[in-house]
Amino acid sequence: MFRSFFGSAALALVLAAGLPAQKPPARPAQKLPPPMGGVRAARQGALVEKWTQMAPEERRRALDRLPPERRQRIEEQLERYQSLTPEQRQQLRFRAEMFNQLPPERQDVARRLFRQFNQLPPDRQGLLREEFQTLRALPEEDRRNRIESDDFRARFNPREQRFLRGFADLLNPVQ
Amino acid sequence: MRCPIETQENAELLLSYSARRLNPESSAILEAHMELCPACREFRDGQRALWEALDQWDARPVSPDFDRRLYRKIEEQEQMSWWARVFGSMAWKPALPLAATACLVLVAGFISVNPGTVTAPVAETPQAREVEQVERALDDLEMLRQFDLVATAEDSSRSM
Repeated sequence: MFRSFFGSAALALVLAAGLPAQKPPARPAQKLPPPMGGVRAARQGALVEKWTQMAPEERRRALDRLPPERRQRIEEQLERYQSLTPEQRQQLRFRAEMFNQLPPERQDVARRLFRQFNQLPPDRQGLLREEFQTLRALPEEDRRNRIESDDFRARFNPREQRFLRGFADLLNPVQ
Repeated sequence: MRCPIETQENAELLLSYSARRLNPESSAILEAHMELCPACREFRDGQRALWEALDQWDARPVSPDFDRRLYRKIEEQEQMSWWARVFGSMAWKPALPLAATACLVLVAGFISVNPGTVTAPVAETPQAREVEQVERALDDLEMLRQFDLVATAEDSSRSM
């Protein structure tokens, strides 16, 4: 008898104590909008995917009015994109997403530097790509020291140094 | 080869050549033409000088508090009432009507001197816009394929 009374009382107490602590019914979780860079990158990605999946004839019609050189460049870039594995495409989209989150002026600097890079002879381009990989793997301070080193100045001409310095700056956090 | 400057055709060829985007075969043809054509040579030299000047040019760094000052300005603008925004922005432009009149007179003068030569600009089609967008997206992806610009040192072990 006593046991059942105390049992019921204990249960009532536990239930009563739980009442105020009970949370209001959960509302459906609000989805936060993705950052603008992500939206832009997603739109870019979707557009490129759409173009890679276009029928050759449709793509030819769309590019028909462009000068041959420009058309060829687009075709080549699309082919290069198509040749990537799904993992590589995903990684590239991730990079694009991060890149689009940079301030627009930094993005423009990168594009301008890359245009200059494209004018360099292919063998120098390869060297600069390797050097950039090395710089990217270094902590910011070491990166700066390497760029200021005599060895660096001896290996790259002023134009190449400017390019590498510019790209290395983009790796530093936005001030 | 027909001269790109005289015929106004293939002008894109000259620009692509100057930007070193032209393939070797077309470059060779164009170079052979330029040996004989002073106008194209002059154009090439001008473009070369321009590219070199652009290469030398370094954009001035943005001041560290630029973003903060910009956002404060935007906030101030948003807090103003609409009429204050309209009239406030006009108040510092007393010469605007005069400038607009001068432009109109100039345009009218130009049209009367060159009747029939002024044509409406060609409307940009949505398709052309999309081509430009995809071209820009592909350029960005190409750059990011070759250079991981946003990765940190820890990410460097992952490479494509």
